[in-house]
Amino acid sequence: MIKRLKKLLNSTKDVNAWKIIGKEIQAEELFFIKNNLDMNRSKTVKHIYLTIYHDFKEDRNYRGSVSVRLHPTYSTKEVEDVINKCLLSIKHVRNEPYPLPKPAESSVRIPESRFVSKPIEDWLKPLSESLFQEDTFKNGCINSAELFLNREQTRILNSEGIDVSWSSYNGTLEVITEWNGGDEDVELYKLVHFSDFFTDNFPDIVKNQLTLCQDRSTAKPTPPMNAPVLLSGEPVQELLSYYLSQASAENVYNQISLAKPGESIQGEKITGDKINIHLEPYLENSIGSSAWDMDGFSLKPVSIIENGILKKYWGPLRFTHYLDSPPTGRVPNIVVSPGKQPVDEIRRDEYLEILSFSDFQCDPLTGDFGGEIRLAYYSPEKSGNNRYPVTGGSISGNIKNVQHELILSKETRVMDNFKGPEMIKLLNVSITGAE
Amino acid sequence: MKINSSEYLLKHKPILKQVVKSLSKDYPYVSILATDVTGTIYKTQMSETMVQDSSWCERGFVVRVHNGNHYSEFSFNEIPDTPDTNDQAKLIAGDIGDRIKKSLDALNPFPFEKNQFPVVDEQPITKSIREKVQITPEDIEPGEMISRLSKLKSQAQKISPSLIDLRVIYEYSKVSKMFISESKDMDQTYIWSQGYLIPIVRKDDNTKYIYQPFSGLKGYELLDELENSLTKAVEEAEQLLNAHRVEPGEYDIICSPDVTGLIAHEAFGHGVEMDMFVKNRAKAVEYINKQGASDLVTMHDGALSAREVSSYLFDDEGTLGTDTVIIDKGILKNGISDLLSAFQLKKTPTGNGKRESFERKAYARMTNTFFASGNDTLEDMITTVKFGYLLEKYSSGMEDPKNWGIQCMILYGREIIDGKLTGKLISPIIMTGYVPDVLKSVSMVSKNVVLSGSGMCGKGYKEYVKTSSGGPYIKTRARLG
Repeated sequence: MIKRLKKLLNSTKDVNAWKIIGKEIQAEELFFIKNNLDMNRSKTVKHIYLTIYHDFKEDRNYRGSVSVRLHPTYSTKEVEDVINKCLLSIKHVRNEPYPLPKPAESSVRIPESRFVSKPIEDWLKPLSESLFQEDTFKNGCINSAELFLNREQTRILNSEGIDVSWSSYNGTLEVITEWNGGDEDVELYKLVHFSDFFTDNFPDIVKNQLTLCQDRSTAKPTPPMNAPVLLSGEPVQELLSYYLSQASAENVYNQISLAKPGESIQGEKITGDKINIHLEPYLENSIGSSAWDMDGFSLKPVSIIENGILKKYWGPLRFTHYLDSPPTGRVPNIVVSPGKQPVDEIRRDEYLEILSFSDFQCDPLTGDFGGEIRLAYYSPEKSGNNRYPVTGGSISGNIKNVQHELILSKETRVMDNFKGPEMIKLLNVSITGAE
Repeated sequence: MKINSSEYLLKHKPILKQVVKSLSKDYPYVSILATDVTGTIYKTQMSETMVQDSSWCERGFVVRVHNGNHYSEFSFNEIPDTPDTNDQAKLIAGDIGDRIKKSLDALNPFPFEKNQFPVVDEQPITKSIREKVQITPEDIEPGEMISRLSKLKSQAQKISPSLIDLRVIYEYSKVSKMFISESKDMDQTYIWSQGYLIPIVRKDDNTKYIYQPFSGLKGYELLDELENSLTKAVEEAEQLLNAHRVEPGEYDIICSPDVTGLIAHEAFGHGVEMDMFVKNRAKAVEYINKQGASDLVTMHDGALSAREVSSYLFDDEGTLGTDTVIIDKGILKNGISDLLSAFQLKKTPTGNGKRESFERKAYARMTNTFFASGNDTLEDMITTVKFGYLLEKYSSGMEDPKNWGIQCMILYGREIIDGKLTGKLISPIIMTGYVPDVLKSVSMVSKNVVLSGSGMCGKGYKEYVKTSSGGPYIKTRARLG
């Protein structure tokens, strides 16, 4: 299909440039209720995504583009029809001109996943055994789980001569743990992505979730308070992603962000830790790791924010070009430098440490953040001792009001495409109790 | 105008029937869902325009078989390129059989148990439906579409000097699905459209936005609704620049129909998805035939319960859509089920088995979920509030079916003091509470029901499907933070 498509695109008059992304996916999926297999699914699919570009002049120069999916069952006639339909739209898409990436050698080496060593169906048993290894608690267990493993072959081509391809693995584990020995039966939800096999990965996750579940089963309603808030895990990533959004060339171009290189991105009078963020093409076990972005742009590590100062915008070539900023491409992994205080020291004063939210969110546009508390530890004493689990209620705030005195932990954690502080301490967060 | 069926699906129907017949020699139950979904999303904002295929586009097949123990599925999207239909069917059936066997072999010996399911016992059904819309979006010149969206930008700039961007989005999907098994032969084609107005305003360092959604089993005519709502949407966004934070606490609240819908969706909708019953993840089981809400609350879900984006003839497992009364005058009556959950619970399936696409599993999912109307008016409700808020527009919600917490992210609330709106706004708001407490506190319900089906609904953090939700204005109590 791709050979046929290239020929057609190159011979169509109004197609001034094009990009093709081909994906072939083979997948195996297992669905468990307790440790009983409830269903298995398999998948073999091909997807082709085509973007065509058309340059035209009216009051000024424009580059229009239209993106479509081409199904592998399309006939040549159907593909021609799709391209002709795109050309009808494209003349009305008046965007500023921008270049497509040109071929470039990759300087990034992405280590091979252990999943390469055998067919994906042969990983079902080891992954399942690993999942249930720590499911040994008396009053708690895995309620249900879904385990997906995809092998993906990606190829990106464009009219500038880029033709790159790579294999990758995209795994998903959704696990719900429950605890039945407390005042009320409770559960916690966890979604994990992985691209490699580590024997300790699933057991550690399951054991931790079951322990948290046990604590939730004895949790008291969150009292009203004005304590410092400690976040860990996914909310740390969600909160700090605000800065990536502010540093995004696309958001700056669209005036969503007013951030400027050389200026503070963290507000004024910073008395807490200063933010340092760089982006990495490769991070161990990240499903996003890649030497190229989805434009085929060759990626390199890039420093975005240093000591709270924006150093460089980041994003697809189109938008860095618009801002006359050095190209970075869409680098997939986020690395935030740790702070100086160990977690134990951060926990020294009164605190509300939130381990699990219903759904913590930070609005990348306004900086508003918040979420309902499913499990937290409240330590009412200045010594930080005698903490107890609480549940219910919520926190809310705006990052612009807390960023000047946030504290990042010395310890780090890797989750999905994020490596950063294990914990973050926030002051002046509004806490709504559940009592 | 009646919508044309997918020529692709009609062309391949004989092959699919042969594949079912061939696989039925080896498996006691075989079905195929075939999908062909086309559509386009048009988006304009101040500095750019975007045209691309709708993210809901798909074309492919999912085969389900009973493998002797449980059900196995295989998703694919290629048909062998051979001229003879019989050869194509043989090749496809052979590939499917090999792949299913290979996956099952890899699980043997499996270190864990496998659930035992009965074989589906289907009643013969042959049905076909082609829905209508006023104006088929496929027939509209793209230039006209983009021009209408772009005009809204210049109009919006005249309404508010604080406006920094206006995102205008129109998206349609033409959904064609075919379900074939030994007993069933069904196909359906319909179009849904959705649109958004998202004005973004800024004053100094303070940025705010709202989004005004539009949706329905509608075509290009939906654009009229966007145009007619522009001024109100931009003015509302501008008002948010003066909004304050809420003082955390429990308040009397009045929920607008979209917020009412969010509560219905997150509180009882997810909580009565019966695959959660099977997993013992649903608190709702304890409340069946018991008072779970105020007797003013009646709640429906179903493909036939309303005409919105999740109205269909049959679901993704070939079960005909229904109208389920979930809560009847405060009493929790029924859950909503996919086929296999209904099997395990020995219930009649309700036609709620939905897939994100042919590539994903079917789960028990909501369709059109709403609270039914009451007898009150919004004006009467406001006069009864001593100190509280009228909550309008939401950004998201999250379910907690086991422990029945609820999280609703609300865009803004209008302050009410001594029975009158003061003009003061609070934003944003997190509404939380214990589901039975919130719903038992419902004390007034207005007459008119409004549903909206923009956006998408996930199960946990994945498996996104189209749903709609809504209801009347309701008055209740909840924690705001």
